[in-house]
Amino acid sequence: MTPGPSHIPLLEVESLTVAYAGAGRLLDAVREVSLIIHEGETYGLVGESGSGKTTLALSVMRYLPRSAVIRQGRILLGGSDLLALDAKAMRTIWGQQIAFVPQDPYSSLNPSMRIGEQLSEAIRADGIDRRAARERALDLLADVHLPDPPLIAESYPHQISGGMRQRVLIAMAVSREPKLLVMDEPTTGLDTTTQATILDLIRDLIRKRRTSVLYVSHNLGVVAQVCDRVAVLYAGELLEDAPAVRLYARPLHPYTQGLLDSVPRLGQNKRRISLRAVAGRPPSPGDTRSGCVFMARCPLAIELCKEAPALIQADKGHDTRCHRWKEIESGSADPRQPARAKAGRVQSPVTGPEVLALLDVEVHYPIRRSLADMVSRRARQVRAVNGVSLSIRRGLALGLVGESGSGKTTLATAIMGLVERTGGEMRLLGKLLPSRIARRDAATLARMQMIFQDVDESFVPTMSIAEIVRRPLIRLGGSRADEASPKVIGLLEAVHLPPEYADRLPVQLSGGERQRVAIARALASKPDLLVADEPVSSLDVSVQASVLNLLNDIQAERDSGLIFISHDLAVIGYISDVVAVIYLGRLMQVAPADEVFDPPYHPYTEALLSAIPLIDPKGLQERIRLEGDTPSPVEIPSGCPFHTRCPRFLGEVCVTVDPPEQRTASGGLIRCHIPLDALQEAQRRVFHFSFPVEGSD
Amino acid sequence: MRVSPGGRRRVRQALVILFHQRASAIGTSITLVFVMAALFGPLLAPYGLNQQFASATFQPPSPAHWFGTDELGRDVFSRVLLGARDILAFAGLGTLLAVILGATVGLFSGYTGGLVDEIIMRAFDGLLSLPAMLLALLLLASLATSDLSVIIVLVVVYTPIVARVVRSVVLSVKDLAYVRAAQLQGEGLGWILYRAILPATYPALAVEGALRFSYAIFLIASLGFLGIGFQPPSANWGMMVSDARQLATAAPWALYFPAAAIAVVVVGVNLLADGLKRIAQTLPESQR
Repeated sequence: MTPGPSHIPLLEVESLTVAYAGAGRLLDAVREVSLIIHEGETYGLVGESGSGKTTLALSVMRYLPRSAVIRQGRILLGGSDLLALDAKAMRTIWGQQIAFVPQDPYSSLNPSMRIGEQLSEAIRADGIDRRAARERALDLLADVHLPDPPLIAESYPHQISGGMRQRVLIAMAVSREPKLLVMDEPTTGLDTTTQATILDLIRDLIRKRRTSVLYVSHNLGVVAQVCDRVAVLYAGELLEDAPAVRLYARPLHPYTQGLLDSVPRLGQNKRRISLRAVAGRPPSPGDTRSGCVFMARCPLAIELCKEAPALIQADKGHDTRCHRWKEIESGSADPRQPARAKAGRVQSPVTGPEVLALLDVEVHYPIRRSLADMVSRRARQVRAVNGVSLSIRRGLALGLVGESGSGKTTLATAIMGLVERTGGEMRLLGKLLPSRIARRDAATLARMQMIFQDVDESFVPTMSIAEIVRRPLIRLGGSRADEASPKVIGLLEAVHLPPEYADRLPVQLSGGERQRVAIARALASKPDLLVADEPVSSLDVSVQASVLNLLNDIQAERDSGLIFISHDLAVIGYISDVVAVIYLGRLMQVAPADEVFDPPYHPYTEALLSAIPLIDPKGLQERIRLEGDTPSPVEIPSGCPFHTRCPRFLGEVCVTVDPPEQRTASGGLIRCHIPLDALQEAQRRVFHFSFPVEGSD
Repeated sequence: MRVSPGGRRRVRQALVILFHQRASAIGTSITLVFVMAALFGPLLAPYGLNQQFASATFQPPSPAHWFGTDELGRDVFSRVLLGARDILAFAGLGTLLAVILGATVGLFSGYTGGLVDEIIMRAFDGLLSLPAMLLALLLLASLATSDLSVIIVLVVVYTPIVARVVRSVVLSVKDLAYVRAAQLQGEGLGWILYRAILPATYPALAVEGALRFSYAIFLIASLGFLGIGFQPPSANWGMMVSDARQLATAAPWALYFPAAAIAVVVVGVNLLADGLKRIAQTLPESQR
């Protein structure tokens, strides 16, 4: 990617152990981690929550909070120990030698200062005069490809979008030409299409400036796209460290393999093969540990693993911390969880009894801020959902994919009656569905249930798991209080949770376990329709797969309809039978899951596919980038709502005329002015993996 | 109601935090001492409330009369001790009722929202725009003088304040997924308000309740000082201060000790409220 890193070490972390004071003792967050970043190298640090990746990044920056203690180790930058420097000396390092790009572009800029001022303030630390700094700030804003730098410089942070703020932060970090950039999840929280443009920018900057980067992320795809070298961190220990291409193609640690298998690849569908999930729950910081940190979840664990393995060089530049790496390399031990091949439960998406029918559903709501707005009737409207027609059938999963602001969550809450529908109609099992939940009877409520995006917020914190699952049994399942308890245990078993969890509180469970409880609760009333709103996006990578498989099994077993909402097209492609792509409250494309990854695409689908970071450093992807940001749902563009950003923009017709619904041979739908055969001709398959992916062709 | 498994542990944690900081430890201790006095005062008091020692008027503090005696030869220590029950009981009961009523109104108003919420809250704003003392005087002027009137005053004065605090918490949680989940499982309004949302307001309620309690003591004492609300022979500290004021040069102790009792208990309960606030802040988000 870059012209190739040199062999001169820039940053050397030697046997670093960082602990936090907690519960009267020190808990190690990072344990004896050693790594080297060479000049011009982009080093990716991958880990799940609690792996210690952010702690490590902050240690390098010397930004650790007071409660953290560096127990041992050295951090050398160009040969001199950063840990030996005092705050005053660090001031000459920050900005000039190393700079930080933080995770949260919302809280990392001063909300009361103009962008230009903030940027030139950072530059003026070099002693440049005000005017020169201002010039330089404008150059930098142009360098990070921000449109109209003078305008941006005059703006306050809240006036520009999240993606733009992230660009400003990057500009700030590179402003004084540091040798090392530390980036902590710089694209997390951004939309996929915005993320793609930021990743392009990062790659571009690295190549031009030959800067070294420590790139911290939980996202394997993102790391594959930008890094030369990747290390995998788990429970504070480095488990594997290898060149990116090698790590993704031939991982030598069972955890790395597990992580790679947990994420569905684009085009991988459940019908062919289920995801291989990593068993068990992620460790928490208080856990006592001896031996290999991954032992408890490792399918290859043997007696020997009770002794802690050392980080061994398996090959030149490829280290792994596993006793059994040789067997893994030779293929005699397979760290992969047994995958279950599916019996090709292929159903045509247009047959089967209909559970839910949506006809021209519209959800508009006024922006009301004050009493005056409430009295006057001329409030501005947020047009969140605009004429959506869909059919959800028994035993089938409909995947609804869209970026933030696309209206996908509003549509789900409108279906559930949690927000009022302002137009169109909905039918559940043929019967008209009242718009508001207050008008729906218990039998109707029982037939449809929802799994919420924020697992942590979906339970009353003071209620036990048993109580959480028991309530819907009594309210909707028709159980009497005394017969509900055995059913609670049955439901917990159905979601693979042990019965003793019944007495626990939600806080005592891990994120994945909580999501299972949410599923159990939703199943209590034996619904015919499940609506799952981003059910895995707040979960760690290694537990996502098991929740996806669980949802999939349950849906197949109970033959219910499923609406699965996500911003992640790979996840959608995996779990769905039918995929619906939504943009500004309108369906742009509806297609069977097999077809959505092949042309003809709607131009928006094409751009989305192109923006997804492939989990394959050598994979090929067409480069289609969207300009600007999604327009506000308050002012939806006329004609085709996508025309302001469309890479295949035709002309006047897109601006003035509502695009027609074109039907594909398989019954899919593409809403575009470009005829299907013309699209087919112009488009190629957007992505190709460098290695064969199970379950796809 | 089931006691949650972590409940006992959390109570212990809370006590540890309360006694860890010196200020809140002092506040908690003072409050406990006064509560003890209120509960066991009659057992502990050396003399009766209106027991007079005709031969021993205007006695300065001595081993026989720790706080001295007043113009009628009554033991000031016994009167202060016995006065604790009245003032704490009335303040406590009034605060409790205000908290219950305020929480209910706040829950309902915040959850319902819209015009109902606007009307209730604007009405409360109107009440709150009057100084508490003025409102109390106006109410007492129109009510018959009785113990009940004092309670009514406290409820009217403090309910809007508690309701506002509760409502603000309700607004921050009512769109959370667990409230929506409760709607989806067909729960009624009562269950949603009291089982789902109310627990989220406990920390704010505890802090606000303690604070209101201290102001209630203050308000009752002030009313007593003005000679409104309570009738002799009850020993309201405020009334004692008022009575002793005229003879302050002859028997300053009869003025100082009840005044000190008011000040100490108000400060003590305030410190306790601060401690409770700290506990609320240290609770992890999910336990709030």
